[in-house]
Amino acid sequence: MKSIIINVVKDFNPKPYGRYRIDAPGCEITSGQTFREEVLAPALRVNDEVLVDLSGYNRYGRSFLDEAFGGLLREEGFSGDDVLKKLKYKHDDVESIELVIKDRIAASIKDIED
Amino acid sequence: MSFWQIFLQFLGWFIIIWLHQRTLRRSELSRQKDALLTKTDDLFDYIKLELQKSHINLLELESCIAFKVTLLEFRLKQINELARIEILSLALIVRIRELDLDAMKTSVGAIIDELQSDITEQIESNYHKKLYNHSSVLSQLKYRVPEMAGAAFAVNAMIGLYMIVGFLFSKINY
Repeated sequence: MKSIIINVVKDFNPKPYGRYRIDAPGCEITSGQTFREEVLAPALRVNDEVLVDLSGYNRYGRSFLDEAFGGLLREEGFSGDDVLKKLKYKHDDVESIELVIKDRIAASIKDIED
Repeated sequence: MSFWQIFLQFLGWFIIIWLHQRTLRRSELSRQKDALLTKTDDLFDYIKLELQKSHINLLELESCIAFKVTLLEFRLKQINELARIEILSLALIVRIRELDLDAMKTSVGAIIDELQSDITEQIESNYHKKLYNHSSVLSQLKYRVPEMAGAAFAVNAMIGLYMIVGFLFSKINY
C-alpha cells in the first residue's frame, strides 16, 4: 500500500493563504488552489493513502481549506468515496481545523450529489 | 498524643487545604470564564465592524479571524482542563471558522447575533452546571462545604485546646 505524508508548512508554504492564485499578489504560491493542483491532487492520484499534516501554522482560512480539500471533488473530479478512503489529515494543536476540513469535504459531497 | 488525635489533626488540615484549593480553582475558573466571554464578544464586535466597512479585503479579514479563533481555542482548552468538563464545545468554534464572510455582507447582524447567543448560552450553562449541580452524592457533599469547613475548624480547635490544657496540667502536676 503506497502512502505519503504531506507537511503543508514544509512541503508547500510556511504561510498558506488565499483561495485562488489570482486573489492577491503572492497567492500564486500560497493559495488553496495551488496546493490542491500542485501537491495534493497529484499525491492522491498515485498513492493509496495521503496524510496531510497541517501542523506548524495555526491561521488557515476557511477559503484555503475549502478550495484545497473541498475542491478535490468540485475541481479535480475525485469521488466522495475516494477522498474519504484515501485522504487523512491532522493538526497537532488546533483540532477545529480538522473539523473544518471534514465539514468542507462533506459540503462538497452534498453539492455534487445535489 | 494518641493515634486518634494525630489522625484527626491531619484530617482537619487536609480538609482545610482541600477547601482552599477548591476555592482557588473556582475563583480562577470564574475569572477565565469571564475572560472567554469577553474575548468572544470582542471577536464578534470586530467582525461586525469590519463587514460594515465599504472597502474591505475579505481574505485579510478571514486570516485575522482565523488567528483570533485559534487564540480563543487555546484559551478554551485551558479552561476545559481547569474545569474538567467542556465549557464550550469545539463545534461552536468551528462555526466561527466557517463563517462565509462574502455571503454575510448583506445579513451580518442576524448570523453573528445567533452564533454569539449560542456561544454565550453554552458557556454560562455549562459553567453553572459545573459549579451548582447537586444531583450526585459527591456534589451534595460539595454543597455542604461551609458546614464541613466549620466542622474541620471546630475539630482542630478542640484538639488544639485539649493539647494546651493537657500541657498546662502536666506542668502544674509536675
